[in-house]
Amino acid sequence: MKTIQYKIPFILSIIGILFVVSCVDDDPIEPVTPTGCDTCLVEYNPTPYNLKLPPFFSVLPTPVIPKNNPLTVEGIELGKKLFYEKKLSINNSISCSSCHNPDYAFNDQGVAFSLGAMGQSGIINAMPLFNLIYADSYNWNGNAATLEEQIFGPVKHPLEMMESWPNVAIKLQNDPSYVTLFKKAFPNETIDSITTSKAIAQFLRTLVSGNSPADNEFGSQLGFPINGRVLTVEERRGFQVFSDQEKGDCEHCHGNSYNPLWTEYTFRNNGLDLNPDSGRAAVTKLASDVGKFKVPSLRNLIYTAPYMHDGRFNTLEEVVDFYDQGVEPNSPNISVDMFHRTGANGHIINLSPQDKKDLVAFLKALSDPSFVTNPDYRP
Amino acid sequence: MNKLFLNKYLRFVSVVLLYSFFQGCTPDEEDDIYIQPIQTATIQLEFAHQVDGQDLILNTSNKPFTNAMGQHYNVSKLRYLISNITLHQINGAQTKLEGYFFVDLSKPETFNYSPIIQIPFGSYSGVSYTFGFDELSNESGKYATLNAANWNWPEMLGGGYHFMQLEGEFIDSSNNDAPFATHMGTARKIDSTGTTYEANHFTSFVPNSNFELNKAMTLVLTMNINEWYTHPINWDFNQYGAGIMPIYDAQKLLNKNGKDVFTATIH
Ligand code: HEC
Ligand code: HEC
Repeated sequence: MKTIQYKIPFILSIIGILFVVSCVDDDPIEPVTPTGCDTCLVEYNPTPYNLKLPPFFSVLPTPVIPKNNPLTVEGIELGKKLFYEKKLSINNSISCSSCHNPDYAFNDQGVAFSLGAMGQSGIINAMPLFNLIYADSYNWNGNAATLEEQIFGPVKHPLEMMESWPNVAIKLQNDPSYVTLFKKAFPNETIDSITTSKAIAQFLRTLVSGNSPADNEFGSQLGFPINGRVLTVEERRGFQVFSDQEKGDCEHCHGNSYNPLWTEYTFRNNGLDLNPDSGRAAVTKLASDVGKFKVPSLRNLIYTAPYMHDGRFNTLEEVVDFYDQGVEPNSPNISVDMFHRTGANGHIINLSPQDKKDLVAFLKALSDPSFVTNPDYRP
Repeated sequence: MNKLFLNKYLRFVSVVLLYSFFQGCTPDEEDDIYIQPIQTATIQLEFAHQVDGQDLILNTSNKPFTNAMGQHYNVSKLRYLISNITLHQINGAQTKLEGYFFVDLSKPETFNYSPIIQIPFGSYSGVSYTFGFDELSNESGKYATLNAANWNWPEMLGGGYHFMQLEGEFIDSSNNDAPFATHMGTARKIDSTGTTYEANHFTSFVPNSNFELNKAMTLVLTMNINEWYTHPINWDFNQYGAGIMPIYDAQKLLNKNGKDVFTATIH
């Protein structure tokens, strides 16, 4: 008897399913016949890659991967090789990794301004690379809307790789190992700036950092599985200083325990200078954007000194001293979030030495050692 | 899986699927021949913003607005959260718009909603809304989009989410430009008995928001910024400028003053 009870609804469901399926406006699927492609003797079919995000990151919106550049195993492998490829520079002297070193959370090692292909100095601090899939613009002033677009930049930049894209394409086309890798990743497409930047963008999208003591602390509070230590007593006190509106008050820009990105990717002026650089205004041409820069993530700070867009601070202690006493209240377009209370000295925090120590300890605990040692990210 | 549950589940699935079977692939119009459905029309929702009749323009270099205390100010940022928007029919029926609305004046897609809502024809007595989240919805960390926008209200002030961030500069009592940040959320109260957290949302019925629905319409909710700063009590930027989140009296005052910030137009 029981079995029949199950069967009737079951059969009805099957009929229902068939009907739903039959309602789909079906585009007849025609067999794909490669035309005009004489290197297509071997048929390649790139393998879709499933990006694993830390469980705790489900507190964030699901990141969007562009439809025209889905992640594939072959694309990521090629992108990684290209990221470490010196042929992308004019004299084959530097690769992306020269300024974005995996040992330093893909930032340059301890310099304010990285050196380009001819040893010339840059004018803005290189940025670390992680969790880029969550950002909606790239570079300090957000002038690149997508990663693919960002990657066009450094290759031809006069202070970076100084190479032309056609030259890069020729160098890669002449290297048989690349011919195979490109064919596997982008069957039927040519080796050019588009496929090269697509491949590198795929690799960059896999750079996910989400395993710091702070992630473990806040993730476990929400019941997510964790993998490593939580915060110490000192670091916890530091988080209180960070969050307290009458102390650090860092939350409005850099986030909180429910935002593991530690930024909201907006553009703000945190009051570094009375006459600041143009910043975001270079993109929007608005006077109200002068001095605003992308709020950087506070993740992996122990690897990314010096700090700020011009690398002016060498240590986190200096950064904290700046926020405590050094904010320039008359900087144009300074964010109101730099003021902690009403009145003339509202921009001065007056943290105790203990508060400062604790705050620095917390900032360091946002660093993720497993990210800088991840073998998947290395050649 | 529990057998009873499986059985119920399959029944449910089959009902849903059979329904789609009978709906079949026929275009919607033909259905009318058999059933007499409730007639509905689309309502489009828009949020508009002004200051005593002046358009609210962000980031002006001058201070074009004046509050009830005669203090001149401009606005650089406005974000706020609205939930439980409900359309009340004279006959007592209610249509509640699902979810929350997170309006950011720098992002037009957040105040001109293209998703339009189907609601039944009829006489409506008006529109009500909750400013912020009620206690039940105001759960820390629950909403991914709000988390990514750093919209959370600090745990030490009671947690949950911000309800509003209204920011700009005013000319202070010493005639200098000074910042204000009217941020609203849970009100923390510290007194001799200890620390308590008071939910700080409010629910308001928009005055004169009645309408007759017999065709597609647009409902515009207009916020008058100055209403945050008066009625019943005038707000002094010199007293409550920046850093008001931990100040209980400021939070409660926003709750008092806010109830009449919206007016409605329907066309
Ligand atoms: C000479 C040093 C240098 C080289 C080589 C270099 N970069 Fe950069 N990178 C920088 C600097 C400096 C910035 C910040 C630029 C700005 O904000 O204007 C940056 C920014 C970026 C960003 C933006 C990150 C963010 O969070 O917005 C990405 C992505 C990036 N680089 C990828 C690459 C890739 C891929 C390559 C190789 C094709 C590369 N870079 C080569 C110095 C370099
Ligand atoms: C008004 C928004 C805002 C607030 C509040 C704020 N920051 Fe920042 N922070 C920024 C911006 C914008 C930058 C980048 C500025 C630049 O380089 O021009 C930055 C940079 C930093 C950096 C350097 C990161 C790097 O990779 O170079 C650190 C560290 C930092 N902030 C820590 C803090 C701490 C700690 C607090 C609280 C005491 C705080 N911030 C408060 C906006 C803010």
